[in-house]
Amino acid sequence: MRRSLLALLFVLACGPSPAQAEVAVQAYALPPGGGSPHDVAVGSDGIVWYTAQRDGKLGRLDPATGKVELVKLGANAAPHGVVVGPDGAAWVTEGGSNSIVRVDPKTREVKDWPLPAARGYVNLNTLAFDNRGRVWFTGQNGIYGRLDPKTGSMQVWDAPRGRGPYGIAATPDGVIYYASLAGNYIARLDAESGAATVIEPPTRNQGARRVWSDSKGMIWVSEWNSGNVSRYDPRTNTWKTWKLPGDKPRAYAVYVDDRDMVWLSDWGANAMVRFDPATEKFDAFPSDKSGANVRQILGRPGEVWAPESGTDRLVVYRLK
Amino acid sequence: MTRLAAGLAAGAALLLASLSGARADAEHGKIVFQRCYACHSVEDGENTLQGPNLRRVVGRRAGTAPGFEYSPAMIEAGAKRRLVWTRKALDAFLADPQLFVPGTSMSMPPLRDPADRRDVIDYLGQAAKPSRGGARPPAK
Repeated sequence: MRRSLLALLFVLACGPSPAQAEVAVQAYALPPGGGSPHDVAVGSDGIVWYTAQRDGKLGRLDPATGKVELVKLGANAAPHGVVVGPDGAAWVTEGGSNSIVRVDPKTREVKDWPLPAARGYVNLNTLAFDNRGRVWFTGQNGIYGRLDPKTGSMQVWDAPRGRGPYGIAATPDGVIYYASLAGNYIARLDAESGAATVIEPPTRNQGARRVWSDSKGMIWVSEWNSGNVSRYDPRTNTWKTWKLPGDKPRAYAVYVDDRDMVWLSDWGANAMVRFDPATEKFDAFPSDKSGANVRQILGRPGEVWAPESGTDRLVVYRLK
Repeated sequence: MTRLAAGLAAGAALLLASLSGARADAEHGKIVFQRCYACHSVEDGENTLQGPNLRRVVGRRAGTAPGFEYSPAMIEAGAKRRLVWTRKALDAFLADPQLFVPGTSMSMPPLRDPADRRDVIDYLGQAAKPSRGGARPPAK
């Protein structure tokens, strides 16, 4: 009751919300044995893939029918991140086997590229493709790496400041950035050498968790510790920062949609939050269930998908 | 006398084997701890990670590490369920964190192998002991 009241107050604090009339929200319940969705990815065909980390599976949702299919990734699998690659396949950071995994969209064949054994367990996190078909990935124990699926060549580098590499994303030009949660920075990766250039957000100990690029190549950062969203402009090497609404925001995930609106998941308010950079205003979309715990966001034109890891649902925000 | 010597030798061998086994378990536990390492530390004073410091977790009441901001679920587990991190409780939690403390913000997937759980709990237990040169000073 108190939580519902807080959610209501949060909505009221954000002001009247015509934005909510512009967005249709639909939730898809996931089946037993394929819940606790961690990350989600939607392809141009509208099919949605998600990592059922706790169950060691990759899920495939057809939103047209609501049908969910589960692909087993192995006995001790614990998949974390998923993206749809340029080949239309689902690509996964598979923490259980310490591998990068590809799941064929037609045959469901699972192919894996293990990290070098000498690296040990790296706690694979998230992945992103550059414009040359190479996939870059982070490992939260303190690494980042690059795999060229055409040749099978894989490089793994030690991350600056050790443990922490979390979300990773590519700009429209294919430049790769990642965020270090424990390291409190973002980094730009050199496409050839792989060298990381550390870029310091203005807020100390901010807990940069995830990054995403807008259409102009500006980097948006969700800051877990500070509850801020911040934007880095590579052209001018400058930052701008905004605090999310509410008493104690916790910005976990960030995604920029095709209209350059910035979506964040705020654990403090149990809500999805949309930020308009033009007006610098936030609109809140509280979950209708407590403890939604959205850990990542992804979309395609007209759709934003949020996996509610705490409610065993995938929720889509369709833009009217 | 010969029987006594043989008995002592056998006892010593057993003791050595047992000590070596314990070391091996904790050593393996240190490797298993790599699954926890991104968010947890066992070093005194290292308190800025996403999870609480685990140096003295064995025997601690849930949700009570000083200065750490726990999820409401974990605070409630300590306050209302009076959950204490005994070896048995740690084993159950690591086997399925979300099942044992629903709503915990710890996202680690279940640690399914009982031997892995036993060894990492051994490692946590050993981490609480001062090193041979004494406890490390708190990090600044």
